[in-house]
Amino acid sequence: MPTINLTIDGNPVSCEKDTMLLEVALANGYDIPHLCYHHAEAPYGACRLCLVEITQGRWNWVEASCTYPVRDEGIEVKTNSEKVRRYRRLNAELLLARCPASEVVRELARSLGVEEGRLPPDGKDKCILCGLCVGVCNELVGVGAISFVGRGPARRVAVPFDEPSEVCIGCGACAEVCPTGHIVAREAEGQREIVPFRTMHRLVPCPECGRGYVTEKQLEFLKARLGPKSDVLTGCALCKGRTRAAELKRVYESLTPEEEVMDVS
Amino acid sequence: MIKTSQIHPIKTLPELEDVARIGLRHLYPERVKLKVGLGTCGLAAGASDLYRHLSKLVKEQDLDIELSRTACIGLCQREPLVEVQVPGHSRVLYGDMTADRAEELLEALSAGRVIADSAIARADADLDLIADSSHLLASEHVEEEVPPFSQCPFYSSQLRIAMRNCGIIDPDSIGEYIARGGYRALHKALTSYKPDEIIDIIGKSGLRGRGGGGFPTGRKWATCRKAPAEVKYVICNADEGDPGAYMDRSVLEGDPHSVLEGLAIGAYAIGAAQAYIYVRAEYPLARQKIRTAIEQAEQYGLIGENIFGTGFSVRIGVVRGGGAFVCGESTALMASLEGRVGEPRAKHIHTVESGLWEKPTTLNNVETWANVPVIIERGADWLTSIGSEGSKGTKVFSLVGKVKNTGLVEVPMGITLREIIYDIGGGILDDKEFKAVQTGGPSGGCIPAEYLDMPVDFDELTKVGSMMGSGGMIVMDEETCMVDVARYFLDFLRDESCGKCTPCREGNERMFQILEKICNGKAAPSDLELLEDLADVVKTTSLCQLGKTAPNPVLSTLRYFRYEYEAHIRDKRCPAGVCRALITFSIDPELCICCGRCAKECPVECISGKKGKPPAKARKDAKAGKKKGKVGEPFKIDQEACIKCGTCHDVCPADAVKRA
Repeated sequence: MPTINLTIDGNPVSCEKDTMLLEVALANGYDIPHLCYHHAEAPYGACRLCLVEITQGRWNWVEASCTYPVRDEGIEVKTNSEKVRRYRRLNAELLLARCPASEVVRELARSLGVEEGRLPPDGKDKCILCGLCVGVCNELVGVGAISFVGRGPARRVAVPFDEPSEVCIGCGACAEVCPTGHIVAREAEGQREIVPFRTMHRLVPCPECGRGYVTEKQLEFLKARLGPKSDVLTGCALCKGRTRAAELKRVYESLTPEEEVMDVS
Repeated sequence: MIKTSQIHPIKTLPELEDVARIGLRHLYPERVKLKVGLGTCGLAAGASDLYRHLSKLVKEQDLDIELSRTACIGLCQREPLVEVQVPGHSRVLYGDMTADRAEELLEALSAGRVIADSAIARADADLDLIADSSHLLASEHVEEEVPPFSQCPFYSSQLRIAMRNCGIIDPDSIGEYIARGGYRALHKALTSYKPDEIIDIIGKSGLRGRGGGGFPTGRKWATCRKAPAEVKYVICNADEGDPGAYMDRSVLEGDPHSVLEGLAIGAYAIGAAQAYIYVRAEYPLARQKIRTAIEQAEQYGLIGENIFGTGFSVRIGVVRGGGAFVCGESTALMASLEGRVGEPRAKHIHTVESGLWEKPTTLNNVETWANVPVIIERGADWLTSIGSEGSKGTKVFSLVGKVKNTGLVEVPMGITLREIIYDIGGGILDDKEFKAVQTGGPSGGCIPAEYLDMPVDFDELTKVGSMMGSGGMIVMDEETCMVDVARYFLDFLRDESCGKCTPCREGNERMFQILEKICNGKAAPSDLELLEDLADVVKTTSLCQLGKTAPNPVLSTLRYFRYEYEAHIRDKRCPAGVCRALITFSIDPELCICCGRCAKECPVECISGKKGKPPAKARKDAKAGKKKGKVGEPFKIDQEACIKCGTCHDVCPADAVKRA
């Protein structure tokens, strides 16, 4: 891949062609607010907070950096100009009115200079429709238990017919990537509930400590994928870590001083 | 009709001409031919019943008349439309046809007369745009009593390129299309030109995309051709979603082969073997016509394998849209075509590089494709001789709203708004005052009277804050509230936003809420500033063109009609008298003639009074010693109960109901 040179806030930076601008900026230590971007997922471009100002020759415009592939030599990027701050602030104001209950959104809006928005709050829930949960469930986990439904103001993330999902494996990846705390994987009494979708999953106890560490469906799903290698799935991460640590300790203690030196080198 | 057994693939130009000759006999038979406009516009006006009635009459009276179908003839205002073609005579167009008048028409026909007073216009010859010649109709007799099309204001300044066959041919007859020069351009393209030469011709012709953006078609094709890939696609965007715009529907319904021929030429030029036509779900007739056309073209070998024996092959498929406005956006359309949710993506990597199934894809709309065959046949210079500096050729507009003649008009670009509205459109309905014209559909803008003399083309419309869009043109009169218009379009757009990005989903909804507040007289001056901030953020930071243009109705009305917004907010007054919350109806007792019609029509029965002779008149009569008769009482509206529907205002014969 050819290398492209650009400047960010006046400093020269280079990257591989077609790397997304937000990734380039983050890798170089520039702080750009973002909610719908996650390094593990394909960029989606929904929240419109990672705006930057780009100048290329006589053109100057505001762009969402997460979906902007760096292709042209010599573009000048400003990550914190007056223009950029204005539009980030306005989009934050829109999100704040949508999700006044979300601490994350409130904090982000505050950092952009919005204490109290001018718009009447909607007070729906904490979902900003960033699409990370839909992306992770469909593209990365490959299950497709949730999806966007509806259009425009009626858009929301849902399970089919709002019934507890048949295909959800309860892995909790959606809760993991959710930036605002709208989706939560709540565990109690040997069960895991993916909260807004009302799907309940029985947890499999760890053979060592007895704590539930994986849902039954997820274990099945992973076993089918891993086949003969599915032994690695037995036991919770904590116990596995403990067993491994004990093993290491035993090996370490059995070493002669000469071997120990060799091992370190 | 040609029997299926007689059909064999056409491989040479003489074979194409053989089919043309048969088609010509269908187009101009040696007996009387009646053509009924059976496009969606005609069907809506009852043309289907009319057609059945006519065929019954012809059968019953055993008349030697050929009854035939065509699609939109253009003057939708006067549907159902029927054309009468007597061999050797001028062809005469009749409008507002009813069952009774159809009988009259047949009677007159038997007597060899025309009914001049109900005829709209006559055609003495049909222009064949492809061959640059005319087919003479009135070789024996010119119907002098009927004005020719050249003197009919609705038709006289029109030049039909995209709609060259609409209303002339039977869309289900490939023979009639070929008789009008059809598929000659495809033959020429495949046998005389290399793909790059085709792109060169399209580029030099100055053709720009007719679907909205106005992007140079030649440049789009060239980039797609250069993109390195084995598989490429061409797509026809027939997801025409602008309220009040229906030019693409009419072309598909009236002349589907022109689109197929354009697509085949485009596929050859960019190196594609598969084309798709994405037709919106609401156009069942258009889909039916295009499917029939594909079937016929395949039977004749004009679509499919080894066309004209040149080794070039292309398949064309029809895809039904999912019923979302946003699917007219190219990336959303391709997502929908792939079977995913119709949602746009960022277009920094263009669809000509990576489009449908991540393959290089050329997408143009119906009207653009329909232009292609003519340009190939007539050459680039011919198109550049028509239109304005930066916008070559013609554009079809759907002229609707408060204008006398509504319908589809195709005019050279550069014509003024005034010519379209006042000459072709015949002026404002009921001779009211012109206020604004909305061009470019919901994402376009409202243009006020001061720009009536501006030339209409891609660049000029953008300069005044509107756009060409797909060619919708909604005329508004003095009784239109511009805040209400902005509210109407935002209501449409917030609902049609796919909801993917924050500014479009949340911003349009919030703008709509503020406009509602303004219309209800509940807005504060600070709301106007907020509205402008929101319009700015939606325009600047939305992901796709739907969002980026959605604030245009607000921005353009704010630019030209700001005082109306201020009147609503500051004075709680709607100057046009439209916004219900801000108007009151009252009856002037001096003018009331005590007829009681308002009370009779009032849906909530909130008007009371007494029918009879108006008291003033009764007094006068008494003075003059005349009989007093039954004296009435002027009617009154109970303001508490009034729902401000305006019915009383509309029905009052004495103009006594006042709106304030």
